[in-house]
Amino acid sequence: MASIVHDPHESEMVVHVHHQYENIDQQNESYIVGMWCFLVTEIMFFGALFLMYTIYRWNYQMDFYGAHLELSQNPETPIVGPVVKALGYSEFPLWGAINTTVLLFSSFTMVLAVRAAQLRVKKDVLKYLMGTITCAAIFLVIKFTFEWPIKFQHKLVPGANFGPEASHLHGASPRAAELFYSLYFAMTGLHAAHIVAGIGVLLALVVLWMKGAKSVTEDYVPTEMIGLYWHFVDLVWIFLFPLFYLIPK
Amino acid sequence: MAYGQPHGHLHHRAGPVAVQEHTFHVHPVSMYVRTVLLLIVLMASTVYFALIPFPDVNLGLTILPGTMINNIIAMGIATAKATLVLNFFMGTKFATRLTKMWAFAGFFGFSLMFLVYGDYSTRKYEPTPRWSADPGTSLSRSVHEARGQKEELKEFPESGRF
Repeated sequence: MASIVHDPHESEMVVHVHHQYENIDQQNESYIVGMWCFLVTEIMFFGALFLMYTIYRWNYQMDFYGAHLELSQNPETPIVGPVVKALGYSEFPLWGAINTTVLLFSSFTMVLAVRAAQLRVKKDVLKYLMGTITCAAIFLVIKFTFEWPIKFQHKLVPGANFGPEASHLHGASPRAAELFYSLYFAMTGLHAAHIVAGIGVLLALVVLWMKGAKSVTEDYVPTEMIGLYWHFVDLVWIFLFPLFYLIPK
Repeated sequence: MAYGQPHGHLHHRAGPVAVQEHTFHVHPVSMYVRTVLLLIVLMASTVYFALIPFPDVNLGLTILPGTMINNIIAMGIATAKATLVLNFFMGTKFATRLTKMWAFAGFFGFSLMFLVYGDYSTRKYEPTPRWSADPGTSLSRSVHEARGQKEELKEFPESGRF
């Protein structure tokens, strides 16, 4: 709390209530509800894919189990493989777990950034926003250098090039495995696209804060709206993680 | 001012900052720290419960496979994590009722989508013999009775699927 800046000008900086609103509360509420309206459309967007996943997994339970084991294999990775073996697990969703932790932490830094915006402490806002962007970048790096390329190498990408060896299928039929991987790439790919877009928006927010633009420094609600989007992206991953990485035997 | 003078009370620029300060509450960092720690603990427990096998449960009418329990636990923990994120990180707990309604509506609508599964689960009962046998007519039954026409049903095939 010692970092709160008692800016002599702060007492004069009040939030501009636009002319269509009665008071600041109504303005804040309509900003937040507007953002939630967008998030509801995102729920519909991802919801359809979750529904598709549910239907196919219900019909191909054993195949999905076999196919998902490939996501937990990590003997090739340099440091992680021996650690997993040492822990006594033959397969462990390590990358998925790391990604989930990273994203949860990014949500944490985001909410601290919103709090700093409420207190109008520019330094903290920038610090936490950069922290969120860093976590998001780590997530993308893990996904695109450790998880996806291995699938390309093992010919697990659905389409003309789908032709994995049996050892990568773990007992699943190739057709059902292709279904699993279609859903896997579609859903995690869509989620990754949302993360990329989120990084872009966060960078824009950082630039605005650095320039001290009135639109974000005066009113904390724009920062909070972007925080809502980011938490939603984290929420989607919270559901994606058990569905793809933690299918029980 | 571009918006005219009569509605002076709408513009807070010249007003005291106390109006702004009291309309939102800044939460302590400890609340967020506790939330994120709880989230990570829940995540670890999800992974743990997914990797341990559960025995099948005999419910009398059916046998609940052990993996179903894994799934129920996994989805239950995911829902708990989602509730934490929604309430504390997204601030739904402290938001107005309208905001809460929007959040609820979103997830409720999502659950409604799963009614589509009714289509897939009943496909094995098609085609329904009784309905295919009776071609139907646009005229009502009383009209047919008045004309002396009896209901004629074609022989429906033995489906044995009901």
